[in-house]
Amino acid sequence: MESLLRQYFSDNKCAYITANHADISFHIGVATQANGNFVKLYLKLEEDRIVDAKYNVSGCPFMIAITAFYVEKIKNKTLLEAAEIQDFNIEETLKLPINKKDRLFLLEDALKNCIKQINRGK
Amino acid sequence: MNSIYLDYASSTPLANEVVDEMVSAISNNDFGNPSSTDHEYGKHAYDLIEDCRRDVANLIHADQREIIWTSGATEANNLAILGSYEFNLKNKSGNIITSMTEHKSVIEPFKTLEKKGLRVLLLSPKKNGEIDLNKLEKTINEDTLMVSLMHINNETGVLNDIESIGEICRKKNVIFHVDAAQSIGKVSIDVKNFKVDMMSLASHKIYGPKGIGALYINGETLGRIAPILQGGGQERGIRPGTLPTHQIVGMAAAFRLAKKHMNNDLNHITKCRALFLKSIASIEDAVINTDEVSTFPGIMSLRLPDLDAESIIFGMKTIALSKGSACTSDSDEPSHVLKSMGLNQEEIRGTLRISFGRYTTMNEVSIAAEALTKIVTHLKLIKGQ
Repeated sequence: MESLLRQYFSDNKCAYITANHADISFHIGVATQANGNFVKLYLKLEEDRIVDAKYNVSGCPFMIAITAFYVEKIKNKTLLEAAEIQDFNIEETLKLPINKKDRLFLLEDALKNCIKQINRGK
Repeated sequence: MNSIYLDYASSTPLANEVVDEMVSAISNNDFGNPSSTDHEYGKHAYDLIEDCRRDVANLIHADQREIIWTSGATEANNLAILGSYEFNLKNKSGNIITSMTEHKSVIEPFKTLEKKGLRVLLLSPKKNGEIDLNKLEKTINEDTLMVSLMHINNETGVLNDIESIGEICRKKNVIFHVDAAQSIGKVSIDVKNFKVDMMSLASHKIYGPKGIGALYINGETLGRIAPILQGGGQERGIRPGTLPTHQIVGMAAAFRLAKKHMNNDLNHITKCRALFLKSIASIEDAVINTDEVSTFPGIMSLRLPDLDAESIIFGMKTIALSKGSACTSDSDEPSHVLKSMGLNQEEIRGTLRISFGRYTTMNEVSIAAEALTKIVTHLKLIKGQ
């Protein structure tokens, strides 16, 4: 059986593609690392609930897989629920090695930046 | 294993002929200690090893007395540099020259000699990875004691002009050591024409076994160096330790085969490279980090701008290739070779090493090129490019 890591790494169903999604109004949050890794989250909200989520990502296989996994799981969650990243058991589910845990911080930063953007618009 | 193997620069499978000869050496009465020549068993192993020494010497046009067995090219590099220091240089002051593109088994011994008081001059390569001959000539001065430069670079395939470098060193009366781990058996080498004083040879990069290599020491110009191991008189006292007969038999078999197949192998990998490049033509931004003319075609340093080689390799699950040299691929340190060629961290991160060999098929090349195209398309899509 293909590992979940590989499955989410290879997945692109939640990837943001400008040609397909440009007309949807998303809130955007970006986080980058000096080594070139980046995560860009696109969230569509109704009230405080995430009704659609997309991403762009660049980095190592773990960075890609955790982003795809997280974005899939936060749909239909509230922003508050989505912000509790540890509740999604990403580390255990995707067997994230200890030296790759900083990838989760990047994801967290992208979400925080997205929430900031949302709050600015309120 | 069902993977397609495109990491020949890291190591190669044993040739069937090599396996047969090694099995025969292990199975037959070849177990005697080649140093125990008082009896038939020892003499037999001794004779076998001397035949192998001749075969290895033949490939580089050396005399068999100029070949010292080692555990591999790493040990040969260490022995050449540290052994020369102990024998010739330790009472001298001056400088020793190498390049930033060398293997760590040259750079680290150079650092050791720096701590012992010699001045290390590190040449940066040209943008294409080649050693700049003019720069080398200008760097060598009357205090220069030794130059160590590699023939084919293990990460990029860059082929240095050893013949011209040898000419410069001989003219300036400087000891010249060459790390030929990647070039031996793949391109023609004549140590006398190349004016080389020492040359490190590997076996497992040319379809021979791991754990065996050799150091060529020019009998006319150098004669001998000091050992770095203590405790036995083997190899004229230069490299103590009981010789592993079956490993040596395997290395010699691989070297004989290399001599026979050299032209065919070179033609074959040139075709593999050309087909691969043609097949990935749709990846328009792919860049080769070196110049075609000065690169050995078996090793390709391919850069996919703004992508992460780790993800490319992960995505090409059934293809065995590497993101840097095998020696450094388990560390997160960016390649010192690519760095010295002026590539920035992002460019290094997007670089793959693909290496072809005798047993690569055209079908495998096509499958690998297709897999690369597919993963690059995926990574660009999720990146939003």
